[in-house]
Amino acid sequence: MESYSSISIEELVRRCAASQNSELWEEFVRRFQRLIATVILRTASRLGDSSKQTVDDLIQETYLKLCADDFRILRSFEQQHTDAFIGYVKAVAANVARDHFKASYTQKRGAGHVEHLDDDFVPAASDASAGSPKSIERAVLIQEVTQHLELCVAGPDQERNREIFWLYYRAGLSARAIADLPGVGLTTKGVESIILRITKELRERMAEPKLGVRDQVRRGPEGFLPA
Amino acid sequence: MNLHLNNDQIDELLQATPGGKPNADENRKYLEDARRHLEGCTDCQMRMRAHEQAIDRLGSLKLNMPGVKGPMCPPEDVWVDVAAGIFRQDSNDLRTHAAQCDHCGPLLRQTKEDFAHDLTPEEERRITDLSSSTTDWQERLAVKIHDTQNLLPLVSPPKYRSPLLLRSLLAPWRLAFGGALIGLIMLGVRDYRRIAYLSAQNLEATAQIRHLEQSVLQQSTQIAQLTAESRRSSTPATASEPQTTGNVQIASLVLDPGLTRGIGELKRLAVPRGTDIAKITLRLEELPDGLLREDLVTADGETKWTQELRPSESQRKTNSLSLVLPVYILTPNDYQIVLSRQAPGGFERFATYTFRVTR
Repeated sequence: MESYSSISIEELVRRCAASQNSELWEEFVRRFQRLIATVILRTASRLGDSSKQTVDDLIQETYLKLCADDFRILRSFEQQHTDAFIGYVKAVAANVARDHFKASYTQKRGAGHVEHLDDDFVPAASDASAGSPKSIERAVLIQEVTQHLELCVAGPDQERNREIFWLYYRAGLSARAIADLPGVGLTTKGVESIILRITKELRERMAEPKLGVRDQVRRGPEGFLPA
Repeated sequence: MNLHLNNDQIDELLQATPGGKPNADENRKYLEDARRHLEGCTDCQMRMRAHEQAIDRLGSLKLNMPGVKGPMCPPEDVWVDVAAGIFRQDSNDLRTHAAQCDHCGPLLRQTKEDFAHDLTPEEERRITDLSSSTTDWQERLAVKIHDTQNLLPLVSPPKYRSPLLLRSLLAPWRLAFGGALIGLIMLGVRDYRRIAYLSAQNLEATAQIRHLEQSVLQQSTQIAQLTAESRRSSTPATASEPQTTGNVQIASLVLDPGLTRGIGELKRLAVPRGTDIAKITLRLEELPDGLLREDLVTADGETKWTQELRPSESQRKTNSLSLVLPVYILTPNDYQIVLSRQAPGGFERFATYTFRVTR
């Protein structure tokens, strides 16, 4: 019996799409189990129900979706790079989980059902709503950072560097996640170095205006005396 | 002379964790000296605090939960593709949007976190406990997929019928069955007449649809004529007041390219009652060569209008393009006009305009 554990993902996908060998499919299921289970488990945990039964069902559904429509997906990825297929498997798994929870929420809430609201009902402004003290404070902070940031980024890559800064601080993406995004064209180290450089300069600009002119004069030359 | 910590030294103190071990003895001594200076210097303590506050403020920019969805936010499924690294033509625009949006940025982060390969010990344990992690489950699924694959190419071969079959059909009970069948066919004929009547009605309705299609075609031709007329005019309109051209009422608006960050910044196109046409002038810094495409997209991502065009000389002189639309497609909503130029792999987006339609 041929062992399939050593063949590449591209080769495995190509052979699964072309041949009718159940052992190839065992290898396919075994190879992608951890990846699919991870995505399903995390998405399901975030969206509400990550019970064993639900996660197992969604994993199975993901495999069936990958094989749906006469294995069209596998055939279309025969000539593509491994990363592209892995990315696609992740996207299919996430969409399977999201569609499942979307459908179950719709069922729970009742499609077409309209809840009765009293005439004098006035919704309370949440912290996230525009106009709340928190959001005004946040808008002011973003404006302040934007002004300082304009002075910290320069050169041909300023647009990209500005984006990296906001994706890191505002969206909360890690340097690795930013480097992985399509079109960024940098390694994780490259992204980290841009963030460090901008952060240092920005921090200095944000911190220094807080010290008065009197303090600057009094402070004299920099470089402390060793003990 | 009174010497103080400089920014690099403050930076090193901030990066050195209290329990951290410096790499070299020299570095450790340097940091100890800096700390000693800091303990006795109120000026440097104040500066250190200001730097710490700046770090805290930068840290507070991160939102744990996605904020309110804005009119320009794409559908949430888009972030699954971006996080998975699937190439999209609009990848760069989406990344730019996520960097500036409190709704989409955190959504992208969440999806990226879902796709991360490193597992926590708890996740590791839960995945190991799943039935789908057992060889038995995986083998069963593999067989199921394999069986599905086997079923697909199978087409039932035509059955061979022998002459004996005809003789057996003449058996008395079969004749009785045949009689009943004829009765049913008679009933079927009556239904057929009803169907014929409905078909006639259907034909009539089809004729009416064709008539309506012709009317729509006529209207489209009128719009195309108006588009051509407006292109001939080199003076862009500057107000959103309706203008009268013969007996046609036109509402106009001038737009500059760029993403709009807040609702307050959105330009508005007021469409008064009785207006027939909306003329939207798009200003550009530079008009590219070749074929261009204009797409009118709603806030929900629905494309309402598309047209391809080659800019005229007068448009090139004024660096502006005009989009003339029938107002019935501009229902009150937020819209985006996307300008694309022809590129080797299809059309490539180069400018975006946003505006709101009010009635």
